[in-house]
Amino acid sequence: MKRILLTLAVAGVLSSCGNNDTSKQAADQTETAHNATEHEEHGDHDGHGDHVASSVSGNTSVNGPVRKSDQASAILDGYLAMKDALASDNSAKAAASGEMMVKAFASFDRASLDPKQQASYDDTVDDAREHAEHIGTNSGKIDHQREHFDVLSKDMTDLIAVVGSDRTLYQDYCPMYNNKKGANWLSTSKEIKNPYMGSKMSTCGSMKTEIVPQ
Amino acid sequence: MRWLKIAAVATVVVLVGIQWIPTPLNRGDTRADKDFIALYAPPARTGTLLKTACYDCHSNHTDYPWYSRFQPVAMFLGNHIEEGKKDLNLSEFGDYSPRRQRSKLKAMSSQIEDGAMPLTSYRLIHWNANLSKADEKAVLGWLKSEIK
Repeated sequence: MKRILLTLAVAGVLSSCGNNDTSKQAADQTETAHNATEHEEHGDHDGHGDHVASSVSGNTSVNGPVRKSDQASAILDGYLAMKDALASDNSAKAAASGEMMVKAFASFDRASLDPKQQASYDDTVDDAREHAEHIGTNSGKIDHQREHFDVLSKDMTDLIAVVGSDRTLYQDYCPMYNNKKGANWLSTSKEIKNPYMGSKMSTCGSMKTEIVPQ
Repeated sequence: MRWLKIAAVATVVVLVGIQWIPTPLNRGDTRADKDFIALYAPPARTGTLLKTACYDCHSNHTDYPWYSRFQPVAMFLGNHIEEGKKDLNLSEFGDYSPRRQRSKLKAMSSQIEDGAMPLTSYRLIHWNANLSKADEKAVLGWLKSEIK
């Protein structure tokens, strides 16, 4: 389906959280490794992050390249604005970005996709739209917005696999979020600005995958 | 004194008057092939807890308390039920796509975990919707085992 160019940064994971605290790094390393095995055991089939985790042990899944396409550019704009807002603890701005995304979904040119793509698009967007809407109506409840952003980020990764992307994206990973269950997000810069932990632990996390549209 | 009397009479008139505002009962389709409990078959105790703590506002069938047919309580409840069903309808769970079902399960678990659900106003009236720590753990444990 899509080939993600991976620069799987195991080293990046190691150096992710608390750059100046070696004992903590070691702990995070075990945590991440643990997460990877856990995901494998469960045989998760929706999170692309999990495929990446699997590739650590040599099970690289074969994915087609993400198409170069600007169809989803308004959706991505909204998502990335939301990511930045959450990273800077700005709940109202995250809500506004949610509304932006809802509008972008509404004006998306669905007819340009083939029937098979439409089916995956519908499946993903039904869910994504609901999360975006919900984040939009929950200004002031940033923790709750982040819970939905977690699932929305998975949806977005699946969405660009279908509709393509107009820019290079990085899939980043925060091992600490959700009681150390971990969560992914998408970003356009290599620099880590964690949307789950906010300014409290802004640089916590690591880049897992580089998604270069072709 | 005279104004106080007028105010009291006006209040009574309004309270009596609003009793004629109709609020439809929440009695929609409850089909076993779409119902959350029927589809996911949780352990009996968890199923009962979900019924008592969630189904009144998140399904097509509400067990109304006696006072709920009086206004303005009926309007207040009707509004809650409408909002609740919009976010999650356990009677129509089977209509959600697999992806959305997973999302809903996740949201259910985090809402309970955060103490956001059941609503405080609901728990004040429905004491049996106050999940004990052990109950909460059982429900959460099961929900999480379903989130694959």
